[in-house]
Order: sequence, then structure tokens, then C-alpha cells
Amino acid sequence: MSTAAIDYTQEVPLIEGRPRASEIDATIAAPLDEFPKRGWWIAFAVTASMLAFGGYCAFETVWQGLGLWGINIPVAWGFDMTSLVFWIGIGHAGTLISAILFLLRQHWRTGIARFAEAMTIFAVICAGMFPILHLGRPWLPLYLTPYPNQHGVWINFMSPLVWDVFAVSTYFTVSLVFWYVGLIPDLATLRDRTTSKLKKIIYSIFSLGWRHSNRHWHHYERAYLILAGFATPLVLSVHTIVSFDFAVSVLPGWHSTIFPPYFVAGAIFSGFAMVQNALIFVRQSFNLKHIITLNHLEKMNQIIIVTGSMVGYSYLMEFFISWYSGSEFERFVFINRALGPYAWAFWVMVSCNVLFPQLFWIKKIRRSVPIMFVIGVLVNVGMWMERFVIIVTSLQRDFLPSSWGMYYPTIYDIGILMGSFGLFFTLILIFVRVLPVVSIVDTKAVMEGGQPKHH
Amino acid sequence: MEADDETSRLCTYVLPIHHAYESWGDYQVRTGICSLQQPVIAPLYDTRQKEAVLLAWIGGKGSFKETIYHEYVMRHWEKEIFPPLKRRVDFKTFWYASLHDGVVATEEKASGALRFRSPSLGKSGSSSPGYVVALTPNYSIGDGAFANNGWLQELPHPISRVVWDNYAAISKKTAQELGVEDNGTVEVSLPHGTQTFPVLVQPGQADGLVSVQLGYGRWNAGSVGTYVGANANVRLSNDALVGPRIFGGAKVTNAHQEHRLVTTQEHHSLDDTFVKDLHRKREVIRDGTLAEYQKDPDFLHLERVNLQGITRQIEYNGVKWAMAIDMNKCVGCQACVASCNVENNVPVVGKDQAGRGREMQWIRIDRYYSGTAEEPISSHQPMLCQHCDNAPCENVCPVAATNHSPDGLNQMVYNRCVGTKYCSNNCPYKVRRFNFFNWHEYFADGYYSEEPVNLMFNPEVTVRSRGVMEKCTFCVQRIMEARQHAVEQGRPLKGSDVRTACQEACPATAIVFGDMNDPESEISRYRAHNLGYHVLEEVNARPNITYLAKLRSVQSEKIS
Repeated sequence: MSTAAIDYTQEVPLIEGRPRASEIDATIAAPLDEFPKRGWWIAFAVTASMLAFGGYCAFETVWQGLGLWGINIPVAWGFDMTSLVFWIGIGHAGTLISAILFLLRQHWRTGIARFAEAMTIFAVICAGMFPILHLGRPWLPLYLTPYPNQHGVWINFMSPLVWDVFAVSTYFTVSLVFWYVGLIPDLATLRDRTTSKLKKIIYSIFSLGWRHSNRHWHHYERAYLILAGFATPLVLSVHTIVSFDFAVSVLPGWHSTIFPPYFVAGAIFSGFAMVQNALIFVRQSFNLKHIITLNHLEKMNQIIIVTGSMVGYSYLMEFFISWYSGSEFERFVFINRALGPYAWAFWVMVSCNVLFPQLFWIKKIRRSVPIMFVIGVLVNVGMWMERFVIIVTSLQRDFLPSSWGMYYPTIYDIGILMGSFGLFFTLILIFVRVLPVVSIVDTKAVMEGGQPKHH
Repeated sequence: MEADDETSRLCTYVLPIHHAYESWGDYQVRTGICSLQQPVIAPLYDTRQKEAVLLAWIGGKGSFKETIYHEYVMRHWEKEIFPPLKRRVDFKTFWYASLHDGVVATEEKASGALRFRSPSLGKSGSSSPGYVVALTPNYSIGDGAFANNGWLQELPHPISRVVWDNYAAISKKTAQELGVEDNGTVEVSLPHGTQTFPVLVQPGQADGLVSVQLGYGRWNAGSVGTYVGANANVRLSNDALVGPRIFGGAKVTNAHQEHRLVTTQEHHSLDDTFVKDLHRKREVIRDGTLAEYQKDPDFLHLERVNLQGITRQIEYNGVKWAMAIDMNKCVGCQACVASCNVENNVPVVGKDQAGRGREMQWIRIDRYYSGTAEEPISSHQPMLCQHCDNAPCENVCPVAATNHSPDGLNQMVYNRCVGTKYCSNNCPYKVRRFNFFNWHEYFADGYYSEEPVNLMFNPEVTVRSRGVMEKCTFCVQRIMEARQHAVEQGRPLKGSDVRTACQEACPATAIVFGDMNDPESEISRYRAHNLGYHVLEEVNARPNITYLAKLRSVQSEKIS
């Protein structure tokens, strides 16, 4: 479909080319039925190697100690927390798409929801790795949970890190349940069409006896709605709580009330960039261009402009408030960010997050797959850099000039970051081969003629 | 002292001798004061006291016995020290009393006042062109005798804050002349040899003067001190300008090499307006002139703001520990740091790790420059855990491993600590130290965890392992001991019962420790002093260390 052909007075069909229901089954299930081709294996080899290297670095860190990383006093958090916040942020697009857009009856979400939800789960797994690895004694993460014990010691409910434990674990649980409930009808469809005995057994177990009966559908729709209701506040709460890790501290550059909305906007921003990036590959590789259409990508790009502008506004406001506060320390931190030893990181962040996404105002760019891909990558570079800037520049030059320092990442920091990307993409590569990347039943429901019409 | 060193390599026989803790001895501390030394432990190994060896050689074969030197000291005191005192007790009673007291005052008088040899204070004769090189003993390792002591190697230089190295200190102007910068190197040519040293541009250094510290570069000092720094001792010579250490007419050139000097504190350019004088702007260092103080003794607190919190303040009704540090007395000598290291089993991390910002000292002496590179004013500020009432570290710890005691201590529970390091990030004073590795094992292949060095550990203090945070405890082990004594004696614990290790070591008595709830105590007077202030008061952490602002006696009304 060419750019000029869109007529906004008409509802744009979500699925292009009017496929039949059985064709949809076949197209979406195709990657599950065939043996992976060469391209998939190459991608898998790359991501699995990254994962293996990250695993080695993580093992060495646990074995020898955090001294292998670049962290020090004063900069006691570095790539670890940067990556934690980054990955949690990536997950947010999935929840927004699956929960909020569902409640808002945005039917176009169908094409991207399943994949985005899977991404949420994988991103939270990647994120969850960091809080454990960053512990000085990573064998004791249980201490962070309120379990009854003989010592009579309890966790400190005043600590944002404890809130994090609850926020992230809740987020993971709800996302997983939501995703799985949404998968049940599809698993039943797959069960019914597979010829492999083993697959049949597995799909049978996981489809929980689904028979597409009216009663099942009735319960399913209710449950899905309730879960969407559960997940909706999480879109806002999880990153709000993650931002509290910083906002609750006394450190200039962290101690800021703008952080919760700023972090949530940033999370959705980077999450959408990641979904957009990954779906460009998926729709290309699995011939899903008529289901994950250019219109889908364009809509995601529109969300990227909105959230990117919110992030840009936050940057501006942080500077304004630091000036307006009249606090010597606050002003110093922000001048140091823009002009100090990590100025390069700050300017990478500003250009990637504020400048480049603004190109999406131009419709041609918004609908050009190669350009949007590059901008999506830049957004994620910028958003990772944003967390790095917030964490490192605030710590490196805080209150007492005597305790200032610098942070230089080591090969272990870089390796573990690489490993987290390896883990994420390995999980995605496995996911696209074992589960339908687009919801089969939902796609049928948004087909032209999929719903009864009364007008 | 290592048995295998440069000297013993040249000897045919090396005899192991007692450690001071295993030895008898006597000293004249100064004229009129005699002191006795008695062993505090039985000899650990099969060694003999040095004096006993000599006595046995004098006495010939068969004369050695374990008590030979003990008896010798006793006989000496009986003959020489005891009779002139004319005490009305027998010697045995006197001896035991002296051992108990540790010191004896004698009648001996000083033999007249000593005089300067004023001609040697005159202008030095030579004024040959070239640079002047001054060789100076190092503040911590002396002439190199203590080079194998990691604690001393890691003790920052009081001014430059350099650890694990010596260097050629030159002025900014000289550095520009030579075209070198910090971490560059210069080749120093003296008549009796040429040597390369790393460069440190030292504010306040005289132009044309190169000062190099002695005691480094030993080639067989032991596991810790071998090949640390460059050996300037070989440059000592009697052909010097003044004494054996100051040389004129030296040739100094840029050696165009890189040598990274490690400091425990960044030094910022005094020309950079962005970072210059921040310690004053932030009121970390507060000082004034004598004239200002005489005009208005409360001149510091004219703009004092009353900070309010929304949470209820905990009341401390019993003993509440606090410290005061008088910056007028502190000279930045680092004795408190060394003392704290020993008392609290503070590990040594080595040059590489210190360079990564991971030194473990619980107390540090911050040095700030103001003024110009030619005429700097340096300020010293001992910085340690402030034991804040509203400690920012405490509320962020997810496992409550750092918390507050009823007597006002900010405590660390090592067993509970999982090492999130959030406490350190949220500490405005950055006094928390993290065990990035198991330092005792990590440093010098476990030198500090092997016998006999591990016997140095203070058994009253937990040896921290990998992955936990640590920091100043206000010597809680001493507080506990004092409390136990008080309980045994059935009296209340008083603030003056406890002296912290840093306080004990301070030669200037700049550190005062005690119970702030006792209105009679010294600490209460310090806390109420006009010059008293808290660092970063506006964060409202309510720190419990009071600093007494430094008064400088300068000509101008205001200090620059």
C-alpha cells in the first residue's frame, strides 16, 4: 500500500489482502511447522554466543567478586543498574500494548500484542538478572524477601530496593499470566492442527482443555478483561517504583519528583522502539506483512514521537528546576552532566532521544522501514545512555569534592550487558519458533467481517 | 621486618630475633623519664632476643639462658637507676612498681640548652645554574625501613594524596618549562647519577625545585614493598649542597614516558572556575581569620538555617556518642588513618585497586586547595562516618543491615549485608567502603591472611569478607569493652571511658569523643562552640561529628 493511498475518512483495514481464516492459521503457524532455515541459525549462533560470553562474565563475577566490574566508591552502581532500568523499560511497551490499548479498544494492537508481551517477559528476565548479579553476595538474594526466619530479622520496608523486589516480581507474574491466558485459545488451535504426537501432547497440556466453546469464550473474555485491568496500573507503577530507587535518595541528580512520569514515558519510548525494531524482522522473515502492516509500524512511531517529546520535556524541566531550586549542588550536577567528563554520554542521549525521533513528524520517514529501524536503534542507545547518565554523572561528582571519582567499565561490565542482549534475543528466537508471534484468534476477530456489524 | 631483605642477602648468617612484643627492654623517653618494656606474648617461634644473643656471645659457651637479658636489665636498674632515687623500699618492690607503672621519674637534669650552629643557617654558597633537587624522607615509610608495610604504603601523602609511589614534585611553572604534566616523567641528572621519576605538579612548590621522596624502589623488601616507586636513596651523597640531601645544579629533562601516579583524591586544576573553591562554596570547609573571630565570635553562624523534618525525631536519653574534630589542630599527618587501619583490621588493597577508587580506609583526611597554584591555601579535613541521626544510608538498605543503635551509632551488620551498595550511593560523605574482593586474600597473594601477618588482626573486630559494606564504627568494640567494665564495677558508663583509635593516635589531640548528652563533657563544650559546624548541614542528615572551623592568622581581612 502506498503512502498516498491512505484515506483517513475510511477505517483502514487492520489485516490487508482479505485472507481466509484458514490462511491466517497457516501463515501464523508456519514458523512452528517448518525446520528453521539458515538465517535463523546464524542469528541464533550470534545471540547464543553473546549469551555464553555474558554467562562467563557473570560466572567470573560471582566467583571472584564485584571488583571485576568498573564500579567503585563513589560510583557504586554502573552498567548493572543502568541495564536493570533499561530492560525494565523495554518491557513496558508490551504491557501498554496488551493492557492499556486493550482497554481502550485499540484493535490495531492485535498485530503486535503477542510479540510485545513476550518481549515484556524476556525483558523482565534480563532485568531481573542484574539486581542479583550486582549484589556483593549474590548467593543471598533471599534476604531481600520477607520470609519468616529464626533471626527475627525483617526487610526494611522503607527501602526502594524492597519496593523494587515487589514491583518487579509482581510485574513478571502478572505479565506471564496475562500472556499465557491470551495464548490458551491459540494453543488449542495449534493442538487441533498439529500432526506431531509430541507437539499434540504439549499443546494439549498447555491449552487446558480449551474447546472454543461459547462458555469458554465467555470466561476467557472476562478473565482477559480483568487481567488487563490488573496490568494497567503496572504500566505506571513499575517504572515509578524503579525511579524511586533514585528519587528517594538524597543525591543531587537523583532526588527529583519528576522521575516517576519521566521514567514511565522513557520506558514506553524505548519499549516501543524495541518492539518496532524486532517486528520489522519478524514481519519480513515470516511473511506477516499483511498482518503486521506498515500502519502498525507507523502507529508505533507515533507513540515514539509522543513519548520521546515527553522525555525531552523532562530533560528540559530537570535543568530548569535545578536552576530554579537555587541549590548549589543541583545546579552543579546538571552543568556537570552537560559539560563535565561524561558530557559525551549526555549529548548522545539528547540527540538520540530528543532530536532523531522528531524526524517521525515527517510522514515519509514514519513509513520508511529502514529509517524507522535506524531511529529505533538510536532511541534504544539513547535510552540506555539516559540511565547511564543519570546514574554515573550524579554519583561521580556528588557533595564532597574530595570523594569524586570516575567510572570506567571493564570487559566484565560490557560482557554482562552483551549477555543480557544475547539472552533477550535468544529467547525471542526460540519464542518465534515455538509459539505464534501474532494471536491467531485475535487476528481472525479483527479481520474484515470478523465481527458482526449492525450498520 | 622481613628476614630476607637487601641487607641479609649480603650476610653469611641471618639470626632470627624476637619481635618487640616478645622482648624485654628499657628506654629513656627523655631526660628524667625512664621506661620499661616487658614481653606481652610468649615467643611465637624459636627465636632469641637480640641483646640476649650478644650477652651469650660475651659470656661464652653455656652462658645462654632464656632470662639472660631480663636479669641483665634488672641488674642494671638495681645498680644504676634504683640507688640514686633513694626510695624507702627494697629493690624488688621498686622493680614491680616500675613495671606496673611503666615509667619512673629520675633526678637527672638536662645538660643545658642546645644551640643552633648559626653559620650553617646562612645562605648556601653555591648558586650554580640548573635545578635544585631535594631528597626528603617519606612521611609514612621513612627512609624505606617500613617499605614492606602495606598500611603505610597505602597511607596517602598528606598533601598530594599519592599512594604506593614516590615522584618528582615540581611547580606548575617548572612543569611548563619542562613540558611535562602529571603522570609524565622527568630525567633528573645529578653529578653522581641520572634517574627517571614520575611527575606530580604540586601547587605551592618553589619554582626550579624538584623534590623526591626517599625510601622507595627497594628491590628485596618483601611481598609488599619490593619495586614500589623509584629508589632515590642511591642518590644520597656527601657532595650535596646542604647535608646529604639537597643538590644544586641538577639537569632535569622531560623523559617522555607515562607513569600513572595513584591518588586517593582527584586533584582539580586551580584555574578551572567550574570546580575551584567548591569546598568553600559548599561550606564543607569553613574557615575565617582571627580578626573576624575577634570581631564576632559567632561569625560562622550568621546565616544558620533551622532545618525541619516531617518525621518524628528519635530521642536519645542515655549515652549518645559524638565526635568533634578541631581543624585548627589537625595537621593532616594521617596518624589517625594508620591507627584506625590497625585497630579495625582495615585491609590493604594495593596500587591498582586504590587507583580504581577502592581503598578501604575508614577515616581519610581530605585536602582541599584554594588560592592560586603559586600560593595555595590547603585545608585538611578528617572525614569519617558521621553517624547521622537521619542517616541517609539507613533508610535505603533493603535488608536493614545498616541501622541505628540506641546510643546513636550508625551500625553495620556484616552478616546481614548483601552488598547492594545503595547505602554508599546515598551517603553524602562517601565514607562507606565496599569489599569488592576478599581483600585479605586478594592483596599480595594473601600475604595478610597468612601466618605470621594474620596475627596482627585485632581479635575484637570482625574481619570482613567479600561483598559487604563497611565503615567507621566509632570503635564500637572499645565502647562495648568500656560498657562491660562499667557494668562489672556497677557504675554508669561515662563518655570519657572510651577513646577511639583515631583519637588516641592524634598527636595534636584534634579529635574529641564522648557522650553528647553529658553537659559536663568535653564533647558537649565542643559541640556548643562558636566555631563548631556540621559538614553538609543542609542535607539534614543530622551528622554527629562537629568540625571546628579553622581560624587563619593572615594579614588581610578576608582569606582569599
